[in-house]
Parts: sequence; C-alpha cells; structure tokens
Amino acid sequence: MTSSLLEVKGLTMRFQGLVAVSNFNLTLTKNELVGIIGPNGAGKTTVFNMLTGMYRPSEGVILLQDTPLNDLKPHHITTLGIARTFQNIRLFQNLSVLDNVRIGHHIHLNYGIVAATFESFYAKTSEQRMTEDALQLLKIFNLDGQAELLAKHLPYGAQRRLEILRALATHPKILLLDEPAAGLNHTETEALMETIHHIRKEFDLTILLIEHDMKLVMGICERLLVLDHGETIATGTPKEIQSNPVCIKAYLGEA
Amino acid sequence: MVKKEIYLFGTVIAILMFSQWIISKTLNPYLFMILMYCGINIILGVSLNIINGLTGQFSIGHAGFMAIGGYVSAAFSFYFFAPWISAMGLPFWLQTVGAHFFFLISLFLGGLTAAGFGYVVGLPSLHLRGDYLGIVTLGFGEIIRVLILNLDVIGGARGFTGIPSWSNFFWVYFFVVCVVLLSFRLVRSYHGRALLAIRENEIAAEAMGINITAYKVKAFMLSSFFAGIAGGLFAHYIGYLNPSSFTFIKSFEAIVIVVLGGMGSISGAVLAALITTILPEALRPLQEVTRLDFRMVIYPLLLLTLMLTRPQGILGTKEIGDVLPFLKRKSR
Repeated sequence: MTSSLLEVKGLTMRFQGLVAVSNFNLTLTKNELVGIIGPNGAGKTTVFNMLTGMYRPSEGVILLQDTPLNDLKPHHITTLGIARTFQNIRLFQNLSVLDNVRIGHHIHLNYGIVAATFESFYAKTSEQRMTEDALQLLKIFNLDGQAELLAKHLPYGAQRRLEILRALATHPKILLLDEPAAGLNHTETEALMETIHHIRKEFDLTILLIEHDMKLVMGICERLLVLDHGETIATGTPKEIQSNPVCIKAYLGEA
Repeated sequence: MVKKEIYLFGTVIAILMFSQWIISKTLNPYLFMILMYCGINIILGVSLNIINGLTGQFSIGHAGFMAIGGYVSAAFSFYFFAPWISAMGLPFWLQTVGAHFFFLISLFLGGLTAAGFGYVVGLPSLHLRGDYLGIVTLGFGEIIRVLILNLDVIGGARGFTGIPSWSNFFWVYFFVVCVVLLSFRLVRSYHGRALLAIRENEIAAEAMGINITAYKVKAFMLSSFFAGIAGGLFAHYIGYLNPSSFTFIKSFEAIVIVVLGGMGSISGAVLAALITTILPEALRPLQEVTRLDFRMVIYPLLLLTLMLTRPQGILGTKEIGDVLPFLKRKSR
C-alpha cells in the first residue's frame, strides 16, 4: 500500500465545449487538511462532484487507496469512505435532526427488510447502537438539544453544522467540505475552525475543503491548491500562496 | 422478541376471527359491503403511500397493479384451486379449510405477479421524476386494462365470472393489519428512512450512500404487491371482475386517499380511506330529500373544501399518535 490515501491524476471535465477542470492533480496523505481556493466558476465544486461520483470525469484517474473510483456510483463511493457536504445546504428538511444523522449511518446498518418488518433482536439492537452513536455525534456539535426538531427549523449556522455532522456519520476516511463557512458570521466561522480541528483529531480524518473565507483557509489548511478557469495555477503552503503573484492576480486582478 | 411477535399476531388473529364471527351473525349485507370496501381501500391507500408518500415518487398506475393481482389470483382460483377442491371429494369442513388455504396462495400469487410488474415498471422509469413518472405509470395502468380487455381466457370485455367467493372480513382485515404494521415498522427502520431521504433530497440521499435506484424499485415492488393483494381480495369478494373497474379513475381514488390523509402519513391514509369509502354511502339518504343524485356533487365539494382549508391533508406528515398522544405507545 502506498502512503497516499487519495491519488488524483490528470483529472479533466469537459461539458461539451466548456472545459470546467483541466489536468487536476492531487495527492492526499492521511490526516492532511488541504484547501482548494479560487474565484467563482473556477471548477472547485466540479472537482468535488467528480471525486464523489456525481460527474464522470472526461479524463484522468481517481484512486482511493489504489481502488479506482472513476466508474463508481456516488452511493458506492460513500461506502468506500468519501463523504461530502454541499455548497447550498441539502439537508432532509422535513425530517428531524436526529433522523438526518441516522440516515448518515445508513451504510453501517445491514439488517434486511424482513428483519425490519418483524423487528428482530438484531435489527433492534443495531438501531439502538446506531441511535446512541448519532446522539453522541450531536453532542459534539452542540445539537443534542435540538435532536427532535425538524431540520428546516434550525437556524442557518446550525444547519451548516448538521450537514457536516451528517457526513461524519458515514464514518468517512476523507471528508469533503464545500464552503463550510459560507454565510457564517465571524464568531461562527471561528467556532467552525475549532470544530474542524477537533473532528479531524477525534475521527482521524483527512479533510479537503473549498472555501472563500481567507481567514479560515489560511488559518487551518496545511496545503492549498489555487484553481482558476479550471487550471491549477498554484500549490503550496498558505504562506507561499499569499505571496504568490499569480494568485494575487487571479483574485484581485492586475495592479 | 420472537415470542412478542407471536403474541402480537396471535392476538390480532384471535380478535379478527372473533369479529368475523360476530359480523357474520349481525351485520346486514349492505353494511358488510361498506366494511369490506373500507378494508380494501385502506390496503390500496396505505400501499400507494409507500411510493407517493414515503418515497415521494408520483405514481398514477395503482389500479393497474390492483387489476393484475385481482385477475391473476382469480384465474388461479377459478382454473386450478376451486376445481381441485371439488374434485378431491373432501368432507365439508376440509373443503372450507382448503378454500382458505388456497385463497391465501392465490392472493400471494396475485401479489407477487403485481410486484413483478412493479419491478418492470419501476426499473425504466427511475430516472423520470414528478409528472413524467406519473404519465408513464398512467400509461402502464391503461396498457394493463386494454390487455385484459382483449384476453378471452379471463373473460375479456364480458368480465370474469364465477370467481369463488372466498374473501371474508378476516382476510381483508388481516392484510390491512399486515400493510399498516409493515409501513409503520418500515418507517422506523433504516430502510424506511432511506425512502424518506429520497423523498427529501435525492442528491443528498445518494451522497449518504443510499442506493436510490434499488430503493425506488423496492418501494415500487412492495407497493404493487399490496395493491395486487387488494385486487385479489376484491375479486374474491365480488366474484366478478370487469376491466372497467380498473380505469385510471380507480388510481385517482387511491391518490385521493393518500393526498387527503396527508402525504407520507400512514394513519392519515387509513383515515382518508375510511372517509372516502363511507362518505358517499353516508350521503345516500340525502337523495330522499333532493330527489336527484347529488352525491357526486356534494362529495367532491366536501373534498375540495377540505383540501382548501387543509392543503397538507388531514394529518399532514404526522401520524395519529402525534395528534392524539394517548394513542401512542412508545416512540423509537
């Protein structure tokens, strides 16, 4: 086994004529925290969609611990250990907060429909164990008081946290966060940074995140990739990126 | 755990048998008919709720599945089981037992055939959403009806006569209990939560590792299985089947039940099935006053008023236990 957890080589996505992402390369080692930044329309979310199987890449390979993911369906990729959140929150709005997390545990349950119908001992105990697990997770995110609330009734910041939490419930190896701080205020962002640090240690996670909030990115990422018009224009530590003239130009325009 | 289940089913069966005995002694045929239709409509509504309410897929082909179940089970009873029983020359009590036994088998055969068709319809239509899926299922229902119309073995346009009258209160309400219990327990299991997740957000459901294709097909099959059972019960109660009983109007009756009760509410579907079956009958005395049959004017008007004042249905997405807490045993 190689030391790298995720290996992406030459990933390209073409929508008919439009090249959304071209020749994207990325190697993630265990427990890393890597950020992808870039202006709007740079192709960041497209990269996520390819990694999670929502788009089939036009070219290139994605290897998760030497397993190619290119032709797998999204639900299959989740079972292999990649979980994600969405840029525009996609919670199960009309279900309770607890049920949202319990659905996240879906892939770890395996009793059949017949066992469910007769509520077999095995089905009952696995449901109980899972529910305890879910409540534990809710506690970490300070949502245990709202477990019975409908997800749509949560305040915006809590909805964002719930989405991360739901992705965590799948027990992923790699967590993909798509703009976790979008729409959060200063204090909430700081709390979020804290949480990301915490869950990374607690769950031994590798995290890849897309973000616009420079404070968050520079604060917690160990390595950054900068995308512009589908091209990777720079990689390096946050320090290097901050002083890289190409990046400054992409973000701020020419002086 | 196993013991508890046996006790539960034992009690249910005992209660049903006792009621069967009481009802056969006391109820007049007209009220008995209403009772039977109530049961059959509950099965139809609750089973359609699995697709339309829980999984959030819009199916208008429920009458088609019901027709398949009805005709298949009726054909088995008529061509095989009933002749077998009479050919064996059994004593009378054994004939009754045999009839019940073979009735159950033919119901299952009808249900399974309907489930098979549910698979066939479900699979290609999975990438279709909303109205488009509705049109495909509507078309399917009509295809089935026209097919039956042209099959002479099962009566064609004349209708299928001579189906043994094996259906009774016990069997109808036994399957009512089955479909209601199954739905409730399904929702409490991770399988049911997967269906709810698909209804709420397909993309997120897929990202949670839920195989949405497999679950949609399963939901379709489960739902059409019980529609088939309802068809079989109906066929063996009336003793006569005609393709005109299974037009898309029948499908819409099932949809009315689901929408009226509240999409996704199991007890709502039961309640709505009772209302939609009893209300037109309860309005019958009105004819004495109005001289003309205004029932089909008043009945839709009542439905209309209800939907305007309560667009989410009688119970919304809630269950009866949430509204009347004393009916609730234990949650989770």
